[in-house]
Amino acid sequence: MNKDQWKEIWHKNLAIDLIVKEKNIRGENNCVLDITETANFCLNLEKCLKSNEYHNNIEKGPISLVLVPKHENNGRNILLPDEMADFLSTNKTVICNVIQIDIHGIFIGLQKPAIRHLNYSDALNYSKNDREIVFYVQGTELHVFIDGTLIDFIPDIYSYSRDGRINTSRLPISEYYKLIKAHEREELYKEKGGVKYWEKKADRILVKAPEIIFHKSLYSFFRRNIQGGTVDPDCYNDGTSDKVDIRVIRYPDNKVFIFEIKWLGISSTMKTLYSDDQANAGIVQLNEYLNDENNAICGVLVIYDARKDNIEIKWNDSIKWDPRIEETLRCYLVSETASQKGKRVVRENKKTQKAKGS
Amino acid sequence: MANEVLYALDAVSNTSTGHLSRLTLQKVLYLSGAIAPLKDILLEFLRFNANTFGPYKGDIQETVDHLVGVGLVDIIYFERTKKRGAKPAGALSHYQISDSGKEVVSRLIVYPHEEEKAWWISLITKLTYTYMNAYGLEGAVDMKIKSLVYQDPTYSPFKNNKGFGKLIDLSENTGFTYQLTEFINGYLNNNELLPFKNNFRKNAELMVLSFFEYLYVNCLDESMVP
Repeated sequence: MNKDQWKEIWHKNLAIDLIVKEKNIRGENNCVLDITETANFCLNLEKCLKSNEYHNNIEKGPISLVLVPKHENNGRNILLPDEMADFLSTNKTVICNVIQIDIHGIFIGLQKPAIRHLNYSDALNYSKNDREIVFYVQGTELHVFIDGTLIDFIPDIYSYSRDGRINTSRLPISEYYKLIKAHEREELYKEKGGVKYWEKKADRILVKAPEIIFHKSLYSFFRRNIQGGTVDPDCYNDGTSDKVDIRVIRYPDNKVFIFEIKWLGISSTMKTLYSDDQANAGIVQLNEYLNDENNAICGVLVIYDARKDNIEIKWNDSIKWDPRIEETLRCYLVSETASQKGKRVVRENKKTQKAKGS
Repeated sequence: MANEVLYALDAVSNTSTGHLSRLTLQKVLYLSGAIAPLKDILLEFLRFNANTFGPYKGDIQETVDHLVGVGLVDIIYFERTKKRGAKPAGALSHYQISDSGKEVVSRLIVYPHEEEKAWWISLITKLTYTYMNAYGLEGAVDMKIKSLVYQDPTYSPFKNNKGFGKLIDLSENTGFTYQLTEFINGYLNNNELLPFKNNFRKNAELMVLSFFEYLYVNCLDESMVP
């Protein structure tokens, strides 16, 4: 139980903020926002703005969502991702991007006469003159206004921290090298991050199906540490039924980074040594995925190396690499304890000394 | 307890879902009891068993079965599940309040104490459904509610220490959720952060919303851990 975390939530939550500030601005007797409905609205808005459907149409914005009193008609719910995508794809926002919706997200209509809010100042002035609650959305940026007062500003919905924790270590996906190395250091090194991958450490034998463990670990790490992008949970190659290991979509340009994960060595159920052939097969796979992915600009082969010797991979020259394969990253998995390392170093030094002496 | 079951089912009757599963009903009533100290509401169901699928109270299921028998609740879905490994055979069922049940509710809530209980359980039920559709929670509906309730401070240690089968007594003021509700009340009142001077229910609703957000944030955190 974390009381400090709860405190931050109270002060940072968008729905709570809206309710409290509406009361402060309009007075207790003039509040219109219902608490459960407002909570539902804010969660649905967040889900919509984080959806692939919205991001595929992000350049059709900005849009101003104006909250109007509840409507009885059962119109389309524009906060559902596919409905939002459908609406944006009609290009009506070219003429008018001020959209009236009710607290359930039901589309009421476009502002008449038609106007366009080109920046947040336009939305602010509209909110002031018409005494409205306006959600101005530009890309992944969200401004919320009540009656001409800025209530909330979220610069990046993906970095929106519900409990105020600021993650200064978030990096863009273009810095994947640093991210993968940080993951190796913080999560994998000597299994200290709680990621168990050794079945028998002394013999350097991995657990059963280690690819699942490495994939899940890196996927989770990316989710927690990437800014300006989303880690695709389905990881299906765009338009095909192939399943890639990790696919990251960068915003706002929707460019895709593909990561293929391979392990080398021996596992408890796979007694055949996985080595150079496995690594080369990974390149072939990555070539295929990049070929099938329209928006991919980068492919990376990540290799978790559990072989006995820490040696470089022999690449097959006859396999042509897709030019978007920027590099392969090999992480040699450490199985030595500090004590074992100490003994080994001393032993090797003695051998060296002896060789020099003779 | 029959009244409380009816209030929970009545709360969803006008939503697009319209019904509650066995599991969701148990969890909604558990949460209603766990955070009742936020509003000093007195509820009957304060003792649950820590189960692998979250807190469970046999009496609730017996009450539902009785309400089905007298026509106040309808079963709209039923499926027997087979034994799988250590998991015993069971049943999946979904319940909906009948018109007769709604009539009973309308008669009960003329009494202020019952009306307050109905409001409280309706609030918890609606927020539960809201958060089950939130970004980042994956899986079937029952799994999502289970994930949320797993973050309840009182229940969480049972899950972490594998205390399944043990009794959870929500009337004890040593429970973590009780302590958190005491803290929330104290912090907001002492710092004059509750916005509504004339509407105590709205203040209580805000506090409950913050508690659900707390469960949700911890749920997201747990889903990020490899």
